[in-house]
Amino acid sequence: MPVSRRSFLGGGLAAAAVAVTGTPLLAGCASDKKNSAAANLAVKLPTYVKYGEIKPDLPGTDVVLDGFLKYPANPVKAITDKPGDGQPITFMTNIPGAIPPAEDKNQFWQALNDRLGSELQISMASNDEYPDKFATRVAGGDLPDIINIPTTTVQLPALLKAKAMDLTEQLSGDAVKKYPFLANIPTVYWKGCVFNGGIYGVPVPRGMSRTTLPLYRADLLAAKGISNPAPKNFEDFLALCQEMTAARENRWAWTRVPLAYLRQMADVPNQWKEEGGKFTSFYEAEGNADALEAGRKMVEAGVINPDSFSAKASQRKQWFNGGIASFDIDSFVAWNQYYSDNTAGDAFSVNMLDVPGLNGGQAKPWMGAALNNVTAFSKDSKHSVDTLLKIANWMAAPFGTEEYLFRKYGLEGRHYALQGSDPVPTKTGIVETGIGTQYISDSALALYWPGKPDVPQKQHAIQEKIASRLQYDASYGLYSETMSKDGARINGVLTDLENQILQGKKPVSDWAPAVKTWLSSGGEKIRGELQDAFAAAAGGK
Amino acid sequence: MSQKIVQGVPMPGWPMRAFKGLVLLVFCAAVIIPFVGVISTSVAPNKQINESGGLVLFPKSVNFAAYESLFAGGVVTRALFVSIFVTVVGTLLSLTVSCLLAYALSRPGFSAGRPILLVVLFSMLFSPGIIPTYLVVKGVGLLDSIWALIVPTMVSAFNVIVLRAFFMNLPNEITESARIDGAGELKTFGYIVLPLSKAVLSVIGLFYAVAYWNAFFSALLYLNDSKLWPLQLVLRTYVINDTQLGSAELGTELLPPQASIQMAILVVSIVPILIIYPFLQRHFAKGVLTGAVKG
Repeated sequence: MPVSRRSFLGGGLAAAAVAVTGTPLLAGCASDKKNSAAANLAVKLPTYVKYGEIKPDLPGTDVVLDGFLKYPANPVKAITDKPGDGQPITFMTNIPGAIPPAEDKNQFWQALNDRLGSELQISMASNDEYPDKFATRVAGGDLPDIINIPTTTVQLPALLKAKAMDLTEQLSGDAVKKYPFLANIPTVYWKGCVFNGGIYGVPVPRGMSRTTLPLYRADLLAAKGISNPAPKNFEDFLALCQEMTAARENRWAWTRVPLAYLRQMADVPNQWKEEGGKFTSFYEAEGNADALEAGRKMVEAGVINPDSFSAKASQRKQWFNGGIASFDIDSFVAWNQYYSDNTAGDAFSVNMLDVPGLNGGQAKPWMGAALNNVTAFSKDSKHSVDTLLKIANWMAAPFGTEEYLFRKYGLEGRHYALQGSDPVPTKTGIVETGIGTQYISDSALALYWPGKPDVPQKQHAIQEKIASRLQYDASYGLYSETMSKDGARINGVLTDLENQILQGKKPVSDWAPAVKTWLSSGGEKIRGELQDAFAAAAGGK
Repeated sequence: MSQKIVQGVPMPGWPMRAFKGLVLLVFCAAVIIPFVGVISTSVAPNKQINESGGLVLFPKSVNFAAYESLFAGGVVTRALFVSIFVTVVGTLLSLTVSCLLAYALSRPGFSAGRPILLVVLFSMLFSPGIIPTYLVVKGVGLLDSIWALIVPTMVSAFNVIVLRAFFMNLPNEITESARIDGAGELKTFGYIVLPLSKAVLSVIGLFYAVAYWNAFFSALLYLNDSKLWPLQLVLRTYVINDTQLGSAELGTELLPPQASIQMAILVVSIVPILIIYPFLQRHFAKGVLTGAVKG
């Protein structure tokens, strides 16, 4: 078995944690796992109190996001006191974009420090390198006050127990009301922050904004006379794709094979499905063979850009923006980003497809992953837990507040220009604001696009349409050690096979035996652990 | 038809020459076209890049927005200075320390030479790993210091071995005559050995310089303050994150596309090494061979 740098680091992390802290991370993990699941359920989650000062133009629900046609003209200043304690606060995070200017040359960062009342010292790494940096600093016993912890971190409960503050007392039940914007985060997101029978972090919620469906270039489809594409089944869908393909003109329907979409069409569950306490992985679902076969048909029909299997995300985005492809499968966040990158002019228009069943009817879309990350506070921090929670509360002020406007857009004039009441970011704004504060805590995303009210309208409409049919991942909030340790590796084997099947290098019949191997090399164990955790939690009711 | 002979070597006929020319042309094109593509894409307009699917060979117009965007805000400029400092100072220190160590190890009368050599070789076979190194760097107080980019990698065992082999091959008579003239070890080293070792020094210097220039991982681990980051780490965030800027989903004025930024990064990171290379090239073959044959 090849050992990657990451898996090596993962192993090194545990070993070094023993060396540094004197506490084996593994100790007690297996023994109190069951108790832990029951104990986790016993935790009273923070009470959800929706912040009522902001009235959205397109009201959402606990699933559908609020939509705004324009930014409120007089944003509410929701927090009057500075949350900081005057002392520097350290924070470690990944950042999704290029490195922003350092604090001494970044006016947004300086203004942020001023508003927080404490200097925020941020240690950053790119998305890809963050796990290495994180593992090394954990092992080195060198953690900052505020830590962005990826949900896929190995041995997460033991790590949190050893290194992070238990926030149960401050956040459980009505106690959270002291921090109104943390209370404004729906309860379901807190479920992912409960470990070892306590609340060990603050959520950075995503959920609906990460729900991923086909995005299409409505302008290109309209040019072909297709105004409201709503394929009724796979045949219809393939015909639509063929209609949008003209390989000789360097035009294809798709940037890549939308396998997740085909799986949703084939009634494959979202990650893990639970029925009567029995868990089933989405890999095991019968619909996979149909979905893979459908994917092969798409490749054979030539509706996928032939370079798709080797292309990076940025290249696929260029195809979509340049009109080389009319469809891409991505989230609501990407939908907005396409408007940022648009070079096609005012006609450029994006919309999202609903999911039909392979053979007709309506299928169930997959709800996006609930959390981006959990934010924990180091046990060794010299700041009071109240200060750190106040900072998180400040970072979670929702759309429509003055805090949100500053946090996302910066200072008027330098970082954004006002068009009516809409803030339109400048280049400087985009560069300077990308310091990763959204990973300390965040409010649920709001549907909004400065100056283009039709964008949130379309987004809101599709969310309302799919909301009642959404499928949720049953494993959310349940911890499986095998999944956290080996999940990426064993899933990677199946991902490779998917690609080979889609490219016609392997037959679809290879899928079932590969899933058996997946089960025997860890999948079954993951299932067992999830079922145990679920049963223990249910028993604790 | 008689064959043409140049300097005693028969010249092939024109078909063969044309064929060879063609092969050479294809190889040249295989090297040059991607490079032209890189430069062209870095200056091509956004719309053309999107419409061509990512790579442009002949830009319709030239603009330097990608370079402006890279150098705006001073992040890349500052990182460039950090990289230059680390490369220049690091290379000088590495050369000094490595030469002193290698020279000592190459002296036949040095009794501790063999155990020290074993220690050096041991570090070549068994590297300490990321976390132990991190703990050492933390322990000696180098975290968040620019010296963390230089000190931990200052001595490369491989380079020491090459230098030692070179020093051992210098004629003993020269150092002996220096000693007879009253020179001590340091003087012999400074006035006799080093001037004779220019070839190997330039090669090892280049090895060190390239390593310092390209290093990014130690900066990622040891430097929390991003203003001390070297160029390669800063540029990697543009390339690896594969999305240009984190908050672009908020809506903005048009930024240069990711492809042209990435190509501009390639140009920025290649150019310095391309500039240095020709000056050291004449020493290169000689230096490498000298160290490599005997050891």
